[in-house]
This record gives sequence, C-alpha cells and structure tokens, in this order.
Amino acid sequence: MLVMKAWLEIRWRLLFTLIFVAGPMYFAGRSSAEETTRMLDVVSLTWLFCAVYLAGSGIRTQSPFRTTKGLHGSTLFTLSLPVTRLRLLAVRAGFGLLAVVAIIAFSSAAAWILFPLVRAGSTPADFLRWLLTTACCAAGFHAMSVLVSTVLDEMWQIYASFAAIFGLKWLTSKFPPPPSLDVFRVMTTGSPLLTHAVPWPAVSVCLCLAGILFLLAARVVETNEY
Amino acid sequence: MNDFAIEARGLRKSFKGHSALNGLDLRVPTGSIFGFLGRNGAGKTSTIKILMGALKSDGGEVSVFGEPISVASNMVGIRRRIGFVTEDKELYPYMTVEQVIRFTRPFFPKWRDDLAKRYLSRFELPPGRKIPDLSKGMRSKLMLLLAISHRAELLILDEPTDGLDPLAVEDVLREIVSLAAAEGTTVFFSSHQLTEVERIADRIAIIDRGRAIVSGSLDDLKARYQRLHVVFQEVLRAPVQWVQGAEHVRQEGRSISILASGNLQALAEQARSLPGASVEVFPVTLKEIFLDHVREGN
Repeated sequence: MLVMKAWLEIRWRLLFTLIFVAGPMYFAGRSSAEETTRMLDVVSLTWLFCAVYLAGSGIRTQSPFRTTKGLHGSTLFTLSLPVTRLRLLAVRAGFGLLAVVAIIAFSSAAAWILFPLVRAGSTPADFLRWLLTTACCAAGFHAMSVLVSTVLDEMWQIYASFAAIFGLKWLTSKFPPPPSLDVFRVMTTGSPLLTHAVPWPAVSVCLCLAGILFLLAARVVETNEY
Repeated sequence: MNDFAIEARGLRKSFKGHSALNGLDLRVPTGSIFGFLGRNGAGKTSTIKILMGALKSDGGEVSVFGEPISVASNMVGIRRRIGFVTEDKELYPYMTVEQVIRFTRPFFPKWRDDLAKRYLSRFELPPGRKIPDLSKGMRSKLMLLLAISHRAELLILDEPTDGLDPLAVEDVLREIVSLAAAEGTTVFFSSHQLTEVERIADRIAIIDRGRAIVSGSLDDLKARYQRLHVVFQEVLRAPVQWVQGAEHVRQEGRSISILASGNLQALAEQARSLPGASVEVFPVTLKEIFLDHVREGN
C-alpha cells in the first residue's frame, strides 16, 4: 500500500517529466551528427533532473502538483502507521528510482527509434548497455536527492539537487576526471552507443555512491524528529 | 493484560533550550477514558508525539502496553494496536476518502470492513470526495473511522473535537464512550473543551509547564475539591493564615473564594470563626479545578 501512496504522489510528476524529456527530442534536428549529439547531451541532463525531481523520503508528504513547504500535517499520520521509517524510505525511494528508469527506458527507446544517427554504428546490445549506464548514473543523483529530501523542504531539495548537478557538471568541465569516471561523458559522447562497452568504473562509482547516500538517508530518517 | 495502557515516568523533552516536558509522570489505566488537559504549549502534543514515536524523549521512561517505546523494535507492534487522531486532522491531499481507507486497511491485521462501512455511513462521509474538499469535521470523523476500524486497543486522540460543530462533537463523543464501554478500548485524549472532558472522562491529568499538576479519577477529584465562599461585612484588613487544605485563595473586596482539597470541615470552621463571616460551600466543576491550578502556576 505504500506503493499506492508513492504512485499517487508521483504520477503527475511522471507525466510532467515525460513531457520535459520529450521536448528536446521533438524540437531537435535529425539530419546532422552535431544536432543528434546536442540532443543527447540535453536529454541526458533532463534525465538527471528527472532523477532529482522524482525523489522523496516517503515520510514528508509530497503534493502531486506543487512543492510542499514545511511538514504537511499528514506526516504524523504516516509516522503513526505500523511500519518502520526505513520501509517508508525504501519503498518511496525504490518507486521513485523505478519511475526514473522507466522514463530513461522510454525516452532512450524513443531516441533510438526516431533518430537514425543514434542507431547508426550501434547494435541493440549497445542500446541496452547505454540504458544500463544512464540508469546507474541517474541512480546516484536520485539517491543524492533522496538524502537531501530527508533534511530539507521539497522546494529546497529540488533547488539544492539541481545546483549539485550544475556544480558537478561545471567541475567536470574545469577539472576533467578520467574519461571512464566522467558520469556526464559516459551518458553522451563516451556512451556505449559509441564505445560499444559499459563504462564499468563510472557505473560502479555511481552505484556505490547511490548505496552510501541511501544508507545515510536511512540513518537521518531514523534519527530525525517530526 | 497490563494494568496501565500508558505509563510515563520523569519524561523530559526540550526544544532548543526550551523545556517542553519537565519530568512528566503519567499513568493511564487500561480501559479508562483519560482526559489530558493543559494550556497551549503545556506539553500535551509533545507527549503524544513521543508516545507515537515521532519525537524522542530526552529522559525518563515511557511504556505502552507494558513495552518500553525506547526499544525501536517494539514500536511497529505497539502502533498496530493504537488508533491515532492527529491534532490538525490532515491526511494525504491527493487521496479520496475511499483511497485513504483502502490505503490504511492493509497495515492492520484486525481491520474490519463492516465497521469501516458502518462508520462511513454513520458519519455521512462521501467516499469519492478528495481530502482537501472535506470540512475539518469530516476529516476528524474520517480519522476516527480509521482509528476505530482496526479495533485499536488504545485510542490516542489529540483534540478530537477541535473545530467541530456541536452536532459533530456529539457524534464523536458518543462514539468514544460507546467504544470504551463495548470494546474496553482505552481512550487517551487531549482537549481544551473542559465540559466535554467532564462529560466523558473517568480519569484526568492536568499538565502545566511539562509536569502533571493534578491527576486522578474525576469522581475522586470532584469529591476532594470543594469551593468555600466566605463573605465578610467589612473588607479584611489582615491576611488570614488558612489551615491545611486551602489550595488556592482569591480575595475580591469583602469576599474570599477558597478552592479546598480536603480538610473542608476545618476550613469552614476557621472561616466561620472569623468576625462577620458567612460561609457557603459549593461543589466545583473540572473547569474551576483547571483554572485555579493553571492560574496559580502562572
């Protein structure tokens, strides 16, 4: 039933993010490699924004349409249910991540089908590798937003997480990490569509980071007072 | 079965240096209807939040159904046996009445659909209506429905009648009393409505500044407390040193009002012995006991 709550909190956001992701693809030119690369660059960034926007702690009630300021009164009702805080967090975070993966799968499939240049030179296996890579990278950002949502109001959670994405992108452009560890690069110019291999170092780092951030969020939720 | 549904000893809680609970002692006998009274900020909601596990106490011991709530693993089992109505009666704004019921049901193995349906109809709650479109009275009734339908052994109600119209208050109070009588449910409720508390509670505690200043059976308290009204022919020039039992003394012109807690006979005799005094004894209401104690504390 916590899944039902998560779905009701997330469903309109899911629709909104789908439109948000579909926009760059709809307006992108399809004739040149540069336009396709630019489209992939923008779309991969929108995936990260989706990962942040669809995150939640499961304890603070979220409104489907607007961000909630302060603690909604129903938070106390949630806490009075006979479930652990860890379960509340895990179900909401897990469902949010599932929604992110669904959006990535849907939009990357759309890009694969609609843009001949994305398909050119890559196989369906490369497409699946690309999907795996982007989903793992998005999981890291999603977990970051989940952690932030345990301590900040929703509006600040989104601002702080967006700022972290921009900050990290700026940082990686100023001080480039090894290409195999650059999460922005492995989703676009260094993606498995071009390299034909999963960038395991970046994927591993993102998954480890997601795990650590989730454990931190669980710790915060256990000790928080409402 | 435990004699006490709730037991708190020396409960303490501070927020940023401000002490909300300052050594609260509380014993709620199983099967009782227990009124928890106090001014705004006295510590009622903090106590309730600690009982529900939303806040952690800074000190003291609390057990519910005999199980200490400081042991985290106890809390899920404890909450399964509690029905809770929150202070602001807020539920998920994106759900309808029917969805909230459907959402809550699976958490409680003892949930009874027939009870939920009965109360849905008795409280005239529209199943398809969204929570934000319900009045506060309807939300109170819905929360009560959720608390009752899983046959909770303990109802914790934070100002259950706040904001309700008189008809809704009557409905809610009637349900509380009938539940306690029929099912033996313990009811622990906070309220500012002293006449309501007096009508349904069999035990009360008054808290002020985080401590219980009066506690016990309502009948015992009303038998123990009496008011002496002493009127003099002239204004008293010197203050009187009253014998033991005079809890609070208030002088206005030629009259003195004494809230007595025991030793009434001796107090009345002392008053009559004063020159020109006429003495009358009145029973007191819960409101008078409350006001006298809380005023005295401030």
